[in-house]
Amino acid sequence: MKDEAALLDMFKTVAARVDKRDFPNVTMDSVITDLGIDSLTMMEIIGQMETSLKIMIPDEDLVELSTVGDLCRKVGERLESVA
Amino acid sequence: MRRRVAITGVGVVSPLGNDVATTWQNLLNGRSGVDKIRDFPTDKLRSDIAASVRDFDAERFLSPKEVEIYGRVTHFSVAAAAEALAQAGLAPVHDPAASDDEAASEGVPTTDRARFRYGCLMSTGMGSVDIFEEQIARSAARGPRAVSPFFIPGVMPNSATAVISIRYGLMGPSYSLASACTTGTHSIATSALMIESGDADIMVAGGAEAATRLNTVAGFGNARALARAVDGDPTRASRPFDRTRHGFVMSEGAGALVLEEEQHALRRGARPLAYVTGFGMTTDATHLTRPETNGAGLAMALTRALERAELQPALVGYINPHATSTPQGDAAEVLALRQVFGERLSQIPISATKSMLGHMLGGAGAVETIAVVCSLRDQELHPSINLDELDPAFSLEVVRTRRPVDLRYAVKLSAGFGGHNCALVLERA
Repeated sequence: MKDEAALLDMFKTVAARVDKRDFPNVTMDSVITDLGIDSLTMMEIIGQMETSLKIMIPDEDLVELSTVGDLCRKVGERLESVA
Repeated sequence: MRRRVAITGVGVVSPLGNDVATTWQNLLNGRSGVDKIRDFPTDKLRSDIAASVRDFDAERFLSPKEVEIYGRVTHFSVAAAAEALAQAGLAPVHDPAASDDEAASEGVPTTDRARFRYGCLMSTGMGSVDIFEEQIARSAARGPRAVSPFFIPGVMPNSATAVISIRYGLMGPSYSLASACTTGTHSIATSALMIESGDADIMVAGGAEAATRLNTVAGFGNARALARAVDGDPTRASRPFDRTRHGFVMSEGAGALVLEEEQHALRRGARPLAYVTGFGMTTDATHLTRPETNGAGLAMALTRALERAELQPALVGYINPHATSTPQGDAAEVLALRQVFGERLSQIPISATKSMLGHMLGGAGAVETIAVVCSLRDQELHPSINLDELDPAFSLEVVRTRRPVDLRYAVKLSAGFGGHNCALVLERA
């Protein structure tokens, strides 16, 4: 089980790899679109997090993602249900 | 009065140089860009040679993320367009160093309504073969969920046109077309048509290819279309019009031209390098890959181009042929030229750019047209190399070393798999 801080770090690492730029000031409250991350980039970030954590987030869970925290909480829920 | 189509910028990425000046000097000096394929194992292939672009830095033109998403053909297209647009004096509306997300969110200055009359037709014959190969390998190894969400924008053949349009705020007609080896020439002809008809004032037009991959070389090779090194020398493989020609050499690169309505160019202070005064397009409609043996379709394309330019064939001073170095293609083309020029064909200087650059497929027509533009601008012709013995069936005045000329009108021909023919008439500025 990973805590939220660990998931936030993971998000920053994966986002930097996918979008080829650093995300130093991202918090759980950061709005994803404000970070300049477009929808396809977000899908690739989520896909890479799913692969490395060996989880699958249902599409309906992705509909209301607004902040980075929203994503991290969805990922956390999946990890708990797997555990 | 007919709207006149000027060429106000040109850009090239090629195995003979990653800009127009370097490529043109190497063409004038008769250098070959053909070499052994070094990027993948060739031991099971029928041909192990190609003309490859070297020392190309895609990150000069695209963000690191764009470099990853898009295929090599798109990298080349954007680079060639950047050179052409810079020469034409048209600056990007977005910083190329900025990420595409930033560019997309900024938007172009929509108050500038003139931009709805600036378009783009940068095409490719084969598309992003490299991205297809990568993503299919990913899916095979790790399942379809591993396929990138960027796979589709990465492989769509219009990705280069889309990237260029965003970067330069080209809000008029933009798309890409495909007609195999005629793609680049068709893109120029179609863009000229759009400017003549009044639908656009500026068109970024051209073609590109970067399809030298294991499976494409296998496909062309198994079709017995590719040339092999001659006496172990790859540079001698592409030999248009030679008695011993035996196939074409795969090449890669891009050519882009800025076509612009003459008065529009003059008002902005852009200098015309040459003019596109005629174009003609026909189809053999006989066989998928074999050119019509009598050359009638190609001859009609050239006749239409000359008619559109209101130019007597007798005034043509230089021919840049399709000339891929295949036995059938060159023979059909010479018959086509003979139908249009008659006995005088044997006196008109002709030189095959593919003898040095190989066959750039969708990029060929564009880069070769730029070679003609350079000839009209500099009043000098590049040679055709590897002509050890002219095919005895041909009567041609092949340029064998660089030659100064007094050149006003030149023609460019292209023909492609599918039976697609296109001819252009170009005039000195």
